[in-house]
Amino acid sequence: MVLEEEILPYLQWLTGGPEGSIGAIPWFFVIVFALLVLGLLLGFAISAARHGPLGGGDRVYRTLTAGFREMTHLSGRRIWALARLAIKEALRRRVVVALIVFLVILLFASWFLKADHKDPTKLYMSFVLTATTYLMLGIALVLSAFSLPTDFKTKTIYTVVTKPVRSGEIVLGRILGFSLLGTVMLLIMALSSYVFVIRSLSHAHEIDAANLRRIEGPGGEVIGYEGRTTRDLYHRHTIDLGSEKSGTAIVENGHYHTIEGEDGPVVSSSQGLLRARQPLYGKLRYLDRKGVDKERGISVGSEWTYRSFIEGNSQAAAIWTFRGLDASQVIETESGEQLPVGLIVRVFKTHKGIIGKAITGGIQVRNPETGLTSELYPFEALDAQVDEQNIPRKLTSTENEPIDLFDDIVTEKGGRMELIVQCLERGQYFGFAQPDCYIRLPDASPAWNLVKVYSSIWVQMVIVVAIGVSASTLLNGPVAMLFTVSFILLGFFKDFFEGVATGTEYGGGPVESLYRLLTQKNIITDLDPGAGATFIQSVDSVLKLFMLAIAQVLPDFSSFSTVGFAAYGFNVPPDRVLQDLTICLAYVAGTAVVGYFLLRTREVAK
Amino acid sequence: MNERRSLYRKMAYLLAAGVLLFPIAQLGNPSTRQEEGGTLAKIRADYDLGQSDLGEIDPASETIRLATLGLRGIAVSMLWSKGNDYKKREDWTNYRATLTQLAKLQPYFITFWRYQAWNLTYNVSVELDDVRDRYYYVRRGIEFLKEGTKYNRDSPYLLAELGWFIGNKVGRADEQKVYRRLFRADDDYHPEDRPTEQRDNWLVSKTWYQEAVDVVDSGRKSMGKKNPATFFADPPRSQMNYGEAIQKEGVFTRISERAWELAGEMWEDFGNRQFKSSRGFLISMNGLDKQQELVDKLQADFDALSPGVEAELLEIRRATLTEEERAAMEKDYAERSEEEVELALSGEDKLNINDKAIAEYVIEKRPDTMAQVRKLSSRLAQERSKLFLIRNNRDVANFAYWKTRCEFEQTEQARQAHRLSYAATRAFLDDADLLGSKKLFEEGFDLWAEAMEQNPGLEVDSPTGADIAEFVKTYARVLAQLDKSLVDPELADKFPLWEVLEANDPERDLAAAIDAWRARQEASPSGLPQIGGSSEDGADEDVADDSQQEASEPEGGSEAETGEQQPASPPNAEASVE
Repeated sequence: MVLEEEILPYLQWLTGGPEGSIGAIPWFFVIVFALLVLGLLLGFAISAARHGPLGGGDRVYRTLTAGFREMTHLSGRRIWALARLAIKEALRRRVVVALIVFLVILLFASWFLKADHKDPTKLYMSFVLTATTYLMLGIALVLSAFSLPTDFKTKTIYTVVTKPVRSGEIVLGRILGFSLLGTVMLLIMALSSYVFVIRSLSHAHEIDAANLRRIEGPGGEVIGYEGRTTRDLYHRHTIDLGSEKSGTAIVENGHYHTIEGEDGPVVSSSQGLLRARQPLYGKLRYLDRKGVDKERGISVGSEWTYRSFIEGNSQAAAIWTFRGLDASQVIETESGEQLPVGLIVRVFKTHKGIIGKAITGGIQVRNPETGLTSELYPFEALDAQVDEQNIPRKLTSTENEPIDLFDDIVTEKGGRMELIVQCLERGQYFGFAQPDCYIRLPDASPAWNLVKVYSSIWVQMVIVVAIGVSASTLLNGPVAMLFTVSFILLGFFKDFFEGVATGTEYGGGPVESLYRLLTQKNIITDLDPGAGATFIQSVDSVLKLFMLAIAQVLPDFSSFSTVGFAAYGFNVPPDRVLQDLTICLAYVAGTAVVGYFLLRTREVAK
Repeated sequence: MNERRSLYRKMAYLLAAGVLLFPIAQLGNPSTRQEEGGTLAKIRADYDLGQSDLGEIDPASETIRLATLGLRGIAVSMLWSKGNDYKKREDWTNYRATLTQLAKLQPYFITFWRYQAWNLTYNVSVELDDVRDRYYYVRRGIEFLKEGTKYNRDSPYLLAELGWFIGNKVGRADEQKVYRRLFRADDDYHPEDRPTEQRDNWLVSKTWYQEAVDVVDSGRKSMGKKNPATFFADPPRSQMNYGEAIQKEGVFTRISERAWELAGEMWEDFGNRQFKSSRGFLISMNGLDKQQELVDKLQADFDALSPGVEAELLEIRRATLTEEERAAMEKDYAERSEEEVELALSGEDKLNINDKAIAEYVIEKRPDTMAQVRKLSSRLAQERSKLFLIRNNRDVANFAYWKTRCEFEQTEQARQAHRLSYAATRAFLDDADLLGSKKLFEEGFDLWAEAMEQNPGLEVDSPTGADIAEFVKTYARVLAQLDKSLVDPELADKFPLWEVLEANDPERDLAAAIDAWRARQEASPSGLPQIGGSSEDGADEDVADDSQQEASEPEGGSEAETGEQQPASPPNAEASVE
């Protein structure tokens, strides 16, 4: 699968972060500190304007200390009571309609979805997960942004604030209530989606026994049968059966069928539609054609630079270093113990070669400490597909000595091993990205994997609820909704937004872009020098600073999505789930505190 | 009073509304199966303006276009951009799904179907390495176009594009051998009742082209900006490609004979077809001779009106030349200064006499003939223009070549030459039978030469010449393995296709042999035989027989030497052929 950003181990992410960056915790405190200073300055400025510098300072101090005191006196019972109230209120506002909308979407999905693709599961999973994400974000937005403003407007908030509850509890109660309701709805949507995908893609084929061709052995005895299944759901399978007419239908459109031979061949329903491959990823580096270490291979001119390429019939190689290997990861096969490996090769040809013949590559394994290397193990590249290879435990070294994978190649300390892939044909190239080679650990449960995928949607929903509730403490309904929508939209395009702020995107800042739009000037050419251009760019430089500041608190919604994992049939790494949950917690805590102070500015909550 | 006025007014409104109902019903009455309906319904039917006249009506498409609530343009732009992004990221599943969504939103946008089908068949397919995967996407593009023809059943563009994809992509790609085989075996594409021999991609392509032509012929749609010279030529060209393709695959039966016969008949029909040229005249490819005759006759009539007038006018014009112009024109072009070039041009312009100028001069000289001269001159200009257009369109369709080619392929010599050359190639590549292959090639070349001599219209640098040159190159490889070469005078003298080879060896693979032949030809006072072999056939045949006998011994001797090399070379040879 395509994994454009490496998933760091949870602890490293928390404390250290990627190279050249700081961890999540230090970053969180930097932002909290900045917001605190900003909030204090703003609060003081407003209070000082109303009550003079001393009075203003006093009020700010009192608000702050009261806030901290209140935070330590929050009552779980009261929060729960308020959460139940929020749920009841939402139900009264007929939030269940969203479920009906979702069911209608599923009902009409077949208008746009067809299983006539190479990998229909990917398409169906992408569709249901994307639809669920957008719908859940929409529900979270409407519920959270309109709840408190409606209470203020209808004065029903007095029925709450006249009870012994604290402002912080009102904010947290709303967030909890809406999140719980969203969770139940998400569960229902997840179950409906699962049923929809399985029912849409599940099928069986038939085999006409009369059309099976006999495969005869040297003595004329029947050693098997070959043929093909009927065409169902836009595909058919080639079958290769034993003499008992039982076997497996060869994988087509991402699934297979088993075939039982008693009383004529009977094809089972589709299997392997949903998978949760569990990869153990390694670290990738390259050798160039002269055998010199490189961080990346060469570019073949593709606009998408995810993969880089190695040249065939040269010393160029892609080398993955794996850690944490041990003998428990081997599988038993007919040819003995083997280490299962998944390999995705992207082939790039500079000449056609022999049409119909795959490009040959070679795999070697090497001990990173001793340099002991196995003999080259040739393979035929399956372009852009997961090639499930097995490396035998019993190998031969380049010196033609028998060696054991775990005794001689994998290091004792850290279980490290290098896997070297080369292209063996002149003028042809293999392209790789880091996640293209991995050790295949036993598949995880697809159902549990789906739970993890839905947890990422849940995280997005909770963040939207938290932002929406906090915004609605101060703003009226429509404005709070617009504010939250802006947050979501900017969150989905965070990279672009940050790019504009830092100047890495073409077209300049907001004012310059507007100028270019109005004058129909393209985004590449520089503005004509002069006072106008200087003015525009000066205004932009100030705006860009603001944008950069806002970008630091924007949730990166596009990176939350784990749809790709489910669509490609890969297990969502636990590190990723933990990172998402931690980010969610940070947003809830942060926005709840902001929401509390904003609510305190309302007369009713004082 | 006021109340009554109000009542009257309301009654007047009601009355007006009631009266207006009649014309509205007359205008807008919908048509039913039994009745034609109102005026609007009739106009809609007459001019094929109804949505159902475009093609299938898809409720899903209708609903989703309405559901976008006027934001269809934005939705479409976003989906196009998304599609491009998926294509960039090589996510073909989602790319195709996006195209399905777009198809619902803009089903009547012909360019969309053509552009995206092209993307699938030509751009996505080549991104994959496995030839079966490539074919899968070639087919997806074809399916996509077919889907487009459901919504736009009378679009000659889509129908002709289908013909092109199935013909040229399947039959002309580097993977054509595999593609053609897969296409024939593709049960999911062909209707169940289509016999195996009709499953050839060129024949299927012909039916789509023919459907496009039928749409235009029936007047359901115009051919738009398509060039009639190529549009109407497509079905017979597919038939010719079919004949050519099956011959290359070794079919030399009545089927291949019939293929070329039919191609010839279809080309003749195409030649007789009258179509509107770019200047609005009705012309036909076969009308060239008749048109030439007509122009000649009109020219003669025009000349007869006032004989010698052109020379007279020329003299008058010459007298108007200045001294400088005269001097500049007399100089060699290369020696003229910039100013002299201008002067010479002005002089040449003065001496350039066209029909109009002659007519004006004749009228001036003999005013009594004015009406007759004007009429004749105008007719002559018009017929000349027609002649030019016929010639031009014939060139565009390469009409003369394909006409001769169809005749050529129906000759017994050409059929046998194809058969022998194919057998020689297989004998070399499959059986490593060098001597057998050499003999077959040589017999084939003689027949090629004979067939070309019978059809002098077939130029040596035509595609046929290129095909023959390919056989010669294989023959040269056979000779190389026998330690022989076309440079050897004994072989070269017998070889009858030097001119064909010389015209079709741009890579100069056989430059040494061609240069040696050319040198011998220049040295010989009488010159060497051309395409058809020696003028002294009998004498040469004797020499050839002798030299063959002489050559047979060393060949026999070298067999043992080359015997070991033979098994290794054919697979390599085949690879390069493929």
